[in-house]
Amino acid sequence: MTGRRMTGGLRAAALALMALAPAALRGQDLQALVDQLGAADATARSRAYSALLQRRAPEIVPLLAKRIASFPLDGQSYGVHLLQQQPFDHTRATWSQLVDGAVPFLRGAAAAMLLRNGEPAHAGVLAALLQDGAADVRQTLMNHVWGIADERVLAALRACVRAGQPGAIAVQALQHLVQQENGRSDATVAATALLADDPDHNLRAAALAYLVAAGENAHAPALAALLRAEPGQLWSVRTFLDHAARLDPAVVDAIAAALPRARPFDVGPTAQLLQRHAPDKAVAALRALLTGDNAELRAPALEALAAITGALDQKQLRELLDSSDVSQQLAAAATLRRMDDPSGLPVVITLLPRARGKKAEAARVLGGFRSRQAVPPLLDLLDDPDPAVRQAAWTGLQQIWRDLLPYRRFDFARAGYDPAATARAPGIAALRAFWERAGSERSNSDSGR
Amino acid sequence: VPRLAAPALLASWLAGCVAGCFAGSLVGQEPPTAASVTEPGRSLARPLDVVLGGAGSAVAERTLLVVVDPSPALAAAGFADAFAAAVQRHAAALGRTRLGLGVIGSKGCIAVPPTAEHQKVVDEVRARMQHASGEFQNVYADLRAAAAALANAPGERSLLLVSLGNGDVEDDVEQTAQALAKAKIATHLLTSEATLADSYWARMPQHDRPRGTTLTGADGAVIDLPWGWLFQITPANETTAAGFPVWGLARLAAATGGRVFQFASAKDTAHQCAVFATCLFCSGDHLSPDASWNEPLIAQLAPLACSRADTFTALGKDPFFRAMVDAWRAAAEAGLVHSAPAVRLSGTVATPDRPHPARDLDLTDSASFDRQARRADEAAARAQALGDQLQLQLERLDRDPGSPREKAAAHYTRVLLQLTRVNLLLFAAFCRETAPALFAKDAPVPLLPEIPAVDEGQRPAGIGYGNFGLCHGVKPFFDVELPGGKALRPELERLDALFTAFEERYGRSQFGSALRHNGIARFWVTFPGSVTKPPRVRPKSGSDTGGPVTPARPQRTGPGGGGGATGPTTGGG
Repeated sequence: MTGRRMTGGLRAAALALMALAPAALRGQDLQALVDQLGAADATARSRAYSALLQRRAPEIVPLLAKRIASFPLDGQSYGVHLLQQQPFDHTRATWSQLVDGAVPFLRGAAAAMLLRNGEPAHAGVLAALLQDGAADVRQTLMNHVWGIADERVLAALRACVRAGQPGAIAVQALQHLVQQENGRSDATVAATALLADDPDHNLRAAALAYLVAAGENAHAPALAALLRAEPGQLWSVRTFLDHAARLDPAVVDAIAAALPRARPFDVGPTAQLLQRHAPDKAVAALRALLTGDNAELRAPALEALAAITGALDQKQLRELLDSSDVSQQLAAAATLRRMDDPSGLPVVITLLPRARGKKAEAARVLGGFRSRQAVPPLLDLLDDPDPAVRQAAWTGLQQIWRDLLPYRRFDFARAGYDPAATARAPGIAALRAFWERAGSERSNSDSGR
Repeated sequence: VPRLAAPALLASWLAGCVAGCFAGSLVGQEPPTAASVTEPGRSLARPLDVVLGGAGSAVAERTLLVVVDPSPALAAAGFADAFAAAVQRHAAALGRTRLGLGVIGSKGCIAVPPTAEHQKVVDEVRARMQHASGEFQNVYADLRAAAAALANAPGERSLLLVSLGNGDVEDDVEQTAQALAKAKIATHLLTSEATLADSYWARMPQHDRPRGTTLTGADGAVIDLPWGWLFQITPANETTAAGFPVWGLARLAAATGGRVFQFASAKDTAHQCAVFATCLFCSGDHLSPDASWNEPLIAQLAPLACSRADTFTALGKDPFFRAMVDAWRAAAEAGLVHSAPAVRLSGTVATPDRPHPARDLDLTDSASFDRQARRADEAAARAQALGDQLQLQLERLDRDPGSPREKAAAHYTRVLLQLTRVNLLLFAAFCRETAPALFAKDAPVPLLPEIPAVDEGQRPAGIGYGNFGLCHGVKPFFDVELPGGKALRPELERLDALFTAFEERYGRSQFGSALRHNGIARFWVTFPGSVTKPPRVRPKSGSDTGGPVTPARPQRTGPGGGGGATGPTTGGG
C-alpha cells in the first residue's frame, strides 16, 4: 500500500509540475536538461533541476560527471543532489573522480558522500574545505555534510562556530553539531558560549538556544529576553530547543508569547515543544489562537490541540463544525475524521459551494474520508475552474477508490482525465460511468466481487 | 489532570485512581505481578537517578554494581553519557558508595571491582559501549557470577542490570533469583518493554541460541494468549507493547526487592495504524481514540512475577485461563490457529506441555478453488461453534472472580474466533466467485480506470493473503467492497459488536492494542514463479575455526525494529 500511495503521490506531484512548467520544458531531452543546470539564468537552472528530480533517470550519471565541473556553484549543488538520488554503487566512480578534481565545492561534496558510505579517508578533504574554503563554497557545502560524525569534520564545523564568521555558516554548523552530538558536547558548548553576546542577532539567538538546550541555564534569561523582543527569531532556533531536556519557565513563557506571530506551519512543532515542557501553557496558547486575530493560525491551532490528549474532545470539535469560519469547519471535520468520527463529512459537502478561497483545502479534506458519500462531490470538483481544486479532488478520488475497492486493479494514468488539461469532459464522463457501474454491481449482487 | 480537562475526563481519571489503589491493595495478598515491581516512565535519566541517588536522605554505606549489557541499542541511546551525568549529579549521595562495573559476556562478569573511585567506572562504561554487540548473551549466568562476587561486599548491596535485549535468553531464572536474594542484593533492572505474550521464539524453536539456554521473551512466565491465527500475517503477540519487561527480569526484581525501569527511544511511542498490514482508512494521520494508554488498566492486566511453577499453579485455578486454553486447543485442532497452548490442564492443575503441532488446513498452496472454498466453509462453521461455546462460558464466568489478565485473554480469543470466521468466509467467497471470475473467458471488460486484475495468459498457482488493519475498527469495512458482499455483512456486524465491546473495556490497554494489530484478510491469486538455484557456497580452506560461536541476534522487524530502537512501548519518555 505504501508503495502504491507513493506512486500516486509522485504521479500527482509530476502532474502538478507539468502544469506549472512552461510547455517548452516538457519536450527537452535529458542532455538538454543537464546542460541547463549550467545556464546563466538561475530560473532556468532551477527548472531544469526540478524536471530532472522528477525523472530520477539513471542515465543522468555520466552526463553530470562530464559537465558538472563547468556549472556555476548552485548548478553544481543541484548536480550533487541529483547524483545523490541514484544508488551509491552506480555513482561511486563519479564521486571518486570529483573528490580528486579541482573544483573545491565538488571535492567537498564528494568527500562527504564517500565518507557517509564508509570511506573515512576523505574526512581530511572535507574538513579542510569547511575551515578554509571560500565563503560561498563553505555555505553551500553546509547543505551536504549531514549524517557525518567523523571527529575531524566535527572539529571543522566547531571552528565555524566563532565570531567573525558569516552568521549563516556558523548557525548551520551549529545545527549539524547538535544533530551529530546528540544535543551537546563540551567542546561545542565552549565554542558557542563565546557567541552569546554576538552583535549578529540571528547568530546570537542560535547560540543562546543551543546553550539553553544543552543545559546551560545561565543563558536562559538572555534567550527569553531576545525572544520577547524579537519573536520571529524563534522559528529559526526552535530546532535547537527541541533537544532540551528541560526548559527554563522564562523561555517557555517567551515561546508561548511568540506563538501568535508564528507562520501556520510553525504552530504544530512549536506546540509540541511547549507541550513537552509546560502542557498547560501549550493548551492555553493554542486556545488563544483559536479566537485570535490571525485567521490563518486557527486551523493549525485546532489540529495541534486535537493532538493533545484531553485538550479538545470530540464534542468541542463537533461544535466547531457549526463555526462561521470555513477554515475552522474544515479543520474540525478533518480532525474528527482522524479520530474516526465522520460527522464532519456532510458539513464539508455542504460548505463546498461557499468555500471560495478554501475550496482546494475542502477538496483535500473531503478526499481524506474513505466514504462512498465523498465520491459524487469529488467527481463534480474534477471540473472546477481552479486547477488546485481539480488536483486535490483527483488525488482524493484515487485514494478513495483504491481503498474502498481493494479487489479492483486501477490504472489512473489511462483514465483519460488530466486535471491540468483543458479538455476534461470525456475523462470525467468515463469516471462517472465507472462509478455508476461499480455502484450497480454492489447493489445488484448478493456476493459483491 | 490537565486544568482544562473535561468533567468526563476527570471522572475517568478518578475511576482510574480508584482502580489503581484497588490493584495496589491486592499486591500484599496476591502473588507479585510485573506491575508491582515496574516503575513508570521510559527515560534513562530517572532509573539512574533513583538507583544511584539511593533511598532516603541519609548517605548510607553501599555497594552498587552496575552490570551493563552493551548492545547497539543501548549505545545509540547514549547510555554512557547518561551514566556519567548521573554519577556527577549524585556525587554527594554516592559519597559512601563503592561503585563497581559488571559487563555481560565478559569472563566472571566483573570488569571494575567495587571502588570509591567512581570515575574508573564511568570511563570503563564509556569504553565498553564502544564495543557494543548484537549477540545473544546469557545475562542470568553472569548475574549469578556477580552475586557470588558481591556476596561479602560491605553495606547495603544492590545491583543495576542494564540490558535492553537479552532478558529472553533464559537458563535458570529461579536459581539466579535465589542467588541474588541469598546474597541480599536488591536487583534493579533497566530494560526494554516486552511484547504481549511474545510468541517470536516459540514460533522459531530451532533458532540457534547459547548452549544450555531457552529463548522465551514473553512478559509472563507462560504464553497466555493464542498466537498464529489463520490469515493473520504476523501474530499480534509480536508487535504489541506489553507494558512490562520479559518475565525473567521482572522475576529477579520481585524476588530481590528490586525495581524494573523500562527504556524506550522517543520514536517508539508514535502511533502506527498497521504494523504488518495496510490501513484502508487513513494516510498515517490517525488520531486513535485509544492511542493514549490507561496506566491503571495496564497494571491490572499485568502478568504474574512469581516463579514459573507458581504461575502455573495460579493459572490452573483461573477459570478464564482454563476456558481460553480449551478454546485455543480446539481452535488449533480445527486449524484456526497455527499454535497450540504449551499447557496441559487437568482439573485445576496446569503443567507445562510440549508444543503440539496445530492442524494445517492447507488452504493456500493450490488453485483448486472449489475444494478450498468447501474447506474454508467447514472451518468457518467450526469457528462459529467454538466462538459460541466460548461466549456461553464467558457469560457464565464473567460473574466469577478471576484474573483480569486471563479474562481479557479469554475475551480476546472470543473476538479472534469471530474474526477468523469472517476471514474464512471472505476466503471462501474469494475462491468461489472472485478468483474464478478473474480467469473466466466471458468476463466483462472492466471500465477504465479499472483494468483486468490478472494479465492475459496467467494461470493461478495458489492464493496469497495480507491484512487490512483494524485500527479504525470494523465499521468502516461496511463501505468496502469485499468478497462475499451482502452475505458477509451480518458476520461483519457481529464482529463489529464483539470488537467494539472489547475495545470499550480494554481499548487503552495492551490487550486492546493487540486486537487492533489483527486484520481483515485480503486475498489474491498467486502465479508460478521462476525458481533460481542459489549459488553453492564453498567454505574456504582454513576458514572454519571449529570453535563455539555465540549466535547473533536476528533483527526483528516491526515497530521499533531496524537496529537502534527498543521496540513498541505503552509509555513515553
